Amino acid sequence: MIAYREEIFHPGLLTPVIATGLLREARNGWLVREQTTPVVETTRLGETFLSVEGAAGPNLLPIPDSLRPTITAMRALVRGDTLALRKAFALELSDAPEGWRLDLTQPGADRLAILGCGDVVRAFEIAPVEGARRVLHFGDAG
Amino acid sequence: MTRWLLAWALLAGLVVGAVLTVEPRSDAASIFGAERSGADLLDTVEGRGLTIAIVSPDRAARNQVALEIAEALRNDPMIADVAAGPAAPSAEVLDWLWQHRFRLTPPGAEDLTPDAMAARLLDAQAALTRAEGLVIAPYLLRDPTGSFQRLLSKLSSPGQGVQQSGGVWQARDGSAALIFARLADRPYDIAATGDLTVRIRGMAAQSDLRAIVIGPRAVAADISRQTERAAVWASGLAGALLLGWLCLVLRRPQAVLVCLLPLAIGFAAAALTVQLAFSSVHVLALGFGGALMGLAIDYPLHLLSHPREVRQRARRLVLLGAGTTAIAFLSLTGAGLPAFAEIGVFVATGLLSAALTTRLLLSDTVAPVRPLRFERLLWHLPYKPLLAAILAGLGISLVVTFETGDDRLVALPGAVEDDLHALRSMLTLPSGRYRLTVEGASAEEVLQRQRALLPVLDQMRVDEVIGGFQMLGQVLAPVSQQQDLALPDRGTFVAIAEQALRNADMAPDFAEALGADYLAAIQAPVVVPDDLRQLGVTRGLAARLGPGGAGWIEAVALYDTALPDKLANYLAEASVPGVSFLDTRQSLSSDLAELKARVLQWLAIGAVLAFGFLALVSARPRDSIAIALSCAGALGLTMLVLLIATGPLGVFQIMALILVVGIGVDYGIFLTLGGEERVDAARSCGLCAVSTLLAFGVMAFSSAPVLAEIGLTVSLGVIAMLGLHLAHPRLGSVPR
Repeated sequence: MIAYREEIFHPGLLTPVIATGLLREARNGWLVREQTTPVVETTRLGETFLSVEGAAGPNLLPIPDSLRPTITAMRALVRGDTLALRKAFALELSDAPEGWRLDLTQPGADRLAILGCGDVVRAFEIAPVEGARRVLHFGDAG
Repeated sequence: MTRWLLAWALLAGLVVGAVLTVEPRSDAASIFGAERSGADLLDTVEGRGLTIAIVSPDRAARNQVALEIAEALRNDPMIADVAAGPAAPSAEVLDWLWQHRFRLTPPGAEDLTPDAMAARLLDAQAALTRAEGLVIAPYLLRDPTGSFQRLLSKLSSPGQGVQQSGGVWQARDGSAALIFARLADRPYDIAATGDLTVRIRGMAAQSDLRAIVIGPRAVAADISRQTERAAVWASGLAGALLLGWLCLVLRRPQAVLVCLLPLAIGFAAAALTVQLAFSSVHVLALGFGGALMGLAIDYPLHLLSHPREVRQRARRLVLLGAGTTAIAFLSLTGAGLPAFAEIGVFVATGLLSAALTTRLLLSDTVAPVRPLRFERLLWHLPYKPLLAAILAGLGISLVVTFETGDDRLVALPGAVEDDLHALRSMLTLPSGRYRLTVEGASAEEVLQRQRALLPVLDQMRVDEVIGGFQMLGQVLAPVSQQQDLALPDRGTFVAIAEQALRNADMAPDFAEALGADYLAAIQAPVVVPDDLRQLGVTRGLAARLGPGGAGWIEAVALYDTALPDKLANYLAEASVPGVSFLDTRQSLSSDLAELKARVLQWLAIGAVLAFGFLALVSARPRDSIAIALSCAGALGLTMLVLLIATGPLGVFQIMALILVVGIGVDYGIFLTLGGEERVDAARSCGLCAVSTLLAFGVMAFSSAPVLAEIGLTVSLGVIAMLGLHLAHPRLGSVPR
């Protein structure tokens, strides 16, 4: 189980929107996101569908193709499965101001990157060409 | 021997010719006439709809099977579209919808105020942290008018009370997984559709689950298959009984062949003649005409029942009977309905061919059959002509007075009705009975008329006249309306957006980006139905509108039509041009009633012509009138008994009565025009009647309503015909 603090940046926002919660892997292999703030919501991400339990009640949504690489990367991160990352993405390691940056590239996917320092993974960045940029900081749920 | 060889050669030639050339067809227009709009509902978009329910209390198991079946159907050439659950729109589809959002759901003036836009921006901001926000929140932040959100809501609702679980649509009672499919746009093929439903049920059965397959074409194919199975069973049993009976009474294989060969030659000749005359053969002519052709087996039986010394006269009477019946059937060509014209030609040709073959084969050298003493059945009936006239008048007037009894044929078989009932508890099905259509010269005109109809349907929903409805016009406006967007220019919008961003504590500079998106949406090309046919999310909806009727037509799906009379009143008051409302069951009933009237009218003409022919050729007008009176009396009696036993008569029963008259004419000819050979005639008529009763009596117990009604009608009719023709008004004429 990994605590996270998500920062969502968007050109329309003066300050980023912040969300916090926990990430874990369910027994059936689904990635579970238990968000605690700003609203309580549990999202279970399967291969093709994500189920949501929140204030609006349960819902099941199909996962668009464009989102699947992101979920694959997040699932591999939670599992610590580097092999899955190597199989799914072209990897490029570079220096970053606070340590290192591993860019995950897949044709048609959002720009993804894992940020870390030494042997510690610090954050996961999702940067679509257009829209909101998201950074999940791990181990920082408070 | 030469005659036999000739007959076999003729049969072989006819069979080869028929097999090579006969093209069966099954269009409804040939039965009801091309102008009857309700006849070809199977060839509409809704007619090609298919709903499959995989029934199991085990959700995982039923979902797995549903997904496997959907995957298999996706590659099936019979299927145009299939979905077992919601599909995620691709990035391309989302972008297309984003680009055309104002064309599909333009914002109203109330959506373009700073407060309304600020509220939407805040909603979009909150959505960023929710699961659905992963995909659409960035779009929502760029459309403070709410247009895109409304469009997605409109398209994503599965409707019909359907839920989803594990990516698969679920019945609202949680009993089944659901698959929605649409058959490919190709002519209705009973066999291919039947095979498809069997395949689907088979796939579910492999996992020990039950599949309910419901759709107009699937149900029609099921009924056809059930009828076919019942027909095979009935004809097999009847054939075996008849063969056993013939072997018993004829005792010689040669005599049995003599009876069957003319029938086979008559059938092949009839099929070939109809093919040559009409370029194809309607299945009704093949099936119904074939059954009526059973009369031909009587011809050799009549001859074999007569001693050699009087057979020459009997041969003449057989030809006279065949000619009389053929003229009656040929009258059907005047009804103006191709299928019935084909039945007329089929039966007339078949009977004449069979009669001629009988004459050719049955020389005086063929030994007569062992006489069965049916002459004992001759009886005395005082005032027979008067009684016959009363029966005829009563029966015929009651049949004409009562409405058609074809509702029994329209009713669904029990198993299908059970499946439909189960499916109704799983989801809200669109009405299959009430059909609301919108027609126009072009797709644009249909959409314009739908826009006029939209408030009427919305009001009906509010007033609970209907539970809901679905039509393309709910999503797509006509081009003229799309081009007439009364929206502010970019500069005005940017000013409103800037204020909205300030109100929402967001970045006012972002207003310029919103303005660019707004301008792009205003300038997007107009959307036409073909555009929506390219998108997975709208394909099913767009397919509802297509060529047909007066140019273009769409049938509006109606849900929970509990108050059809009120619905009709609302529509009448609105009087939107091109909109028509049809009760398909009532329409079919009235089609059948009109068909019945037309067939009766031409049969009456045929009867007059046939008995005129009989009087002319036999040169015995008084006896011909007596035969006609006996036939009419027996017909009236049969009709009365049928009315009491089964209710008003349907078209197929009336058609079966023609066969009864044909049989009666033969009995009458032999018993009335047979001269001194009345005992021989009674024996031959009795023998023929037992043969007919064996064949049609079995049919009367068939599970298929059409076959059962024909079987019962002919069985009762034959008994009445034999009874009345064996009766004689004068006591002295009954042999002791």
